[in-house]
Amino acid sequence: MSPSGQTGQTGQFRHEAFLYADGAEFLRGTAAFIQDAVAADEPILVVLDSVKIGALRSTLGASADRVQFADMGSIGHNPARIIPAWRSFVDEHGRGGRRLRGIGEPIWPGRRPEQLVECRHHEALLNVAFADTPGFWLLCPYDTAGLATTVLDGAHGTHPFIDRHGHAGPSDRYVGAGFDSLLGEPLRAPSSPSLGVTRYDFDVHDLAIVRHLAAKEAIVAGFGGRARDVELIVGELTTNSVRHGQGDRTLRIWTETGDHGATLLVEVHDDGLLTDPLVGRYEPIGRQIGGRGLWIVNQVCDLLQIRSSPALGTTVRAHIFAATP
Amino acid sequence: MDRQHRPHDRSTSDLAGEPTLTISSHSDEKAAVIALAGELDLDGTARFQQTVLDALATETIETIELDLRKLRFIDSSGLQAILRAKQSAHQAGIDARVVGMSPAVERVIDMAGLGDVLGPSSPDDSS
Repeated sequence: MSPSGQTGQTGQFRHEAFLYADGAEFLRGTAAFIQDAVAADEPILVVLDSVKIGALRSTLGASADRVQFADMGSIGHNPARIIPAWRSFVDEHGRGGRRLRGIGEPIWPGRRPEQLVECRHHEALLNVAFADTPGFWLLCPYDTAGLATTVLDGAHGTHPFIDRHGHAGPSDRYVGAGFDSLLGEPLRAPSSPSLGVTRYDFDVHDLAIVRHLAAKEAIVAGFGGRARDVELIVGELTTNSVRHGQGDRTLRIWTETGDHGATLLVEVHDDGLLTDPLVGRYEPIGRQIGGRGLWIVNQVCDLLQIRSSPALGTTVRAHIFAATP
Repeated sequence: MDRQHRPHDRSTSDLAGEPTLTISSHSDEKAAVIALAGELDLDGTARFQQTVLDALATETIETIELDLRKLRFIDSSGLQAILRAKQSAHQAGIDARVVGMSPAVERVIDMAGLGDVLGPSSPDDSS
């Protein structure tokens, strides 16, 4: 039996949070979910950290050969890269409405606060991205012992189904796709930036200049190894703003130091309005001409925060983490 | 707290450095070679497109070779311009292909999922 005690026969995308209290409950629930998929000949992709994958492999024995595993630490480092991975799994295996399953744990204890914020956005966006993918059942394990209450509350808000101790049912706090409110959430102000915030106003003729200045700022701030990345990120964000934004355009750069080390932040603001919540998460295909800017930024930066509302305009903030010593 | 700059302030413009895009193009009867050096961004795409159109206007031309080996920076606007150049050439019955690229350009092309389209052994647009 799966942890839910029922199969996803509704013919709709089933996005379910699996709240587990310890390792044993995690293994029982996920192994049962996988074995149900294997028994029903449903393709399944399991995206977890490598330790959990190892434990599941030994629990599953021979069935593990019928499961695709992928490392969440690598795919999900920047949570905006997770939906494209599910998309490619669904595109490859879900033809003809074939039933599919997945297990994905994007949120674990030790994630940085802003990774947790963006992971919640990611979880909400899954409901948008796969709304039209009937037969896809995605189980998202949450460690109730290790995660803060606010994070677990977030899971109730982003998952239409909650599975707890073997009982699955609709979440009474699910907020629907609810994306307008997420996209409109203001970003926090820079916190004690060590070197102050450098700010540039720019237009189309300044693109190269602000790129170069940003790369130099990165070097000065000790992010020399990422200067090329910063140049590319700034190039894409400022160009996007020039092409699609409006009003005054501003680039801000600063560094912050926290429990996880130093972070370089690069942010572009304008008065335009972004309307597609999945922007930056569509893998570009073939010869398509446009739509690659924020995709590229998501491949280069460690974390990307996109916010847009009529009241606040559009802000895109990229985080570059210092290499862990 | 904010230190605010206009990019053209004297205090910052000295950091900006050299002109960003250099285009050189030469053609014989059948082939045109367009070599880009420096940086190809939105600001440079119009000049690049004009160079491509000029080459296409040479009636005897059969191929255009795009040499990106000296391009140290490209972004998605630059990639769009390259794709458009291939498209315009294809519509004119001319094969335009990238004949070389710097590692920095190759990295962005790969990230953009264009390795098969713009890579060294990419098929021409007749496929």
